[in-house]
Amino acid sequence: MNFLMRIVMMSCRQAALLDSKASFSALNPMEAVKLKMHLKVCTSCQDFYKDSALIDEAIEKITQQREKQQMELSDAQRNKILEALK
Amino acid sequence: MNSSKPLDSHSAIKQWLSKYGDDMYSWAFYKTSSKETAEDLVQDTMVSAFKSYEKYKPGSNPKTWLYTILNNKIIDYYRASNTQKSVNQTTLQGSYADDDNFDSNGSWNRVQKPLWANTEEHLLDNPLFLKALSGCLDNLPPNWKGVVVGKYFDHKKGSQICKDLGISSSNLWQIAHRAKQQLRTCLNQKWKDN
Ligand SMILES: [Zn+2]
Repeated sequence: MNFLMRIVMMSCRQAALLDSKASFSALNPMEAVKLKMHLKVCTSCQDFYKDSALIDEAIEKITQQREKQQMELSDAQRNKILEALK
Repeated sequence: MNSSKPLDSHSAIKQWLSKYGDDMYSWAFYKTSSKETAEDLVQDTMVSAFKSYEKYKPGSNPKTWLYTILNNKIIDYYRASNTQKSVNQTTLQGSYADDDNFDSNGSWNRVQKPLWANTEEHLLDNPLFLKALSGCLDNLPPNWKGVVVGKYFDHKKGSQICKDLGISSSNLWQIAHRAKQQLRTCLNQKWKDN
């Protein structure tokens, strides 16, 4: 069992990288199984995984708030830009 | 270019600046979180538009044309941040050597108190938590920020982000992980459950 575990199991560093990869594209079946198994037994990674999802959601909220933020160029800024056209 | 054209383009750009300048500035600030950078990007965009004014198709929406230029400038800005000398190159070369999140065996170096266990109240509804994270986001190094902006602000595919920033997919996953880890550490420092 230990031998088999060592083949299937990976380090937390590898698990974190797979978690990151999964946020961009689907993992292949082997990677998905490895990550799942790691998360089952590793509480540090479970915590990171949950925080990671929490931060993802929070960033989405922040981007929505920020998108509505309206800024204004000052007259000085406008003049500077127009100066640069010369 | 004949002699009367610069005058025409100049007044057109002037008009567009007064009409779309604030929106462009807001957009650039949204993407970079820096007023200074946003102003530079709007200026660069206007200068480019002025210089390539003959490429503008009369009758088409000038805002669309200007935003195409501006968005390319924003991509250039983040791409440049990846090649600046100040950036630690190992970050981009797929080396784990300087990743102090993990020890040599690949185990977590510092076990952090998980954020999700901080409170019974939903963190996402807490404005103070979002404010803290917002500050942490703005403090990310620009080359990491480029990944965060592509992923969360633009919802771009990983392959597109790699192309924009000129990095490999393994660099992308690594930078995204490190950015996430830094945000988590930053939040643990900035935001404490009262
Ligand atoms: Zn682990």
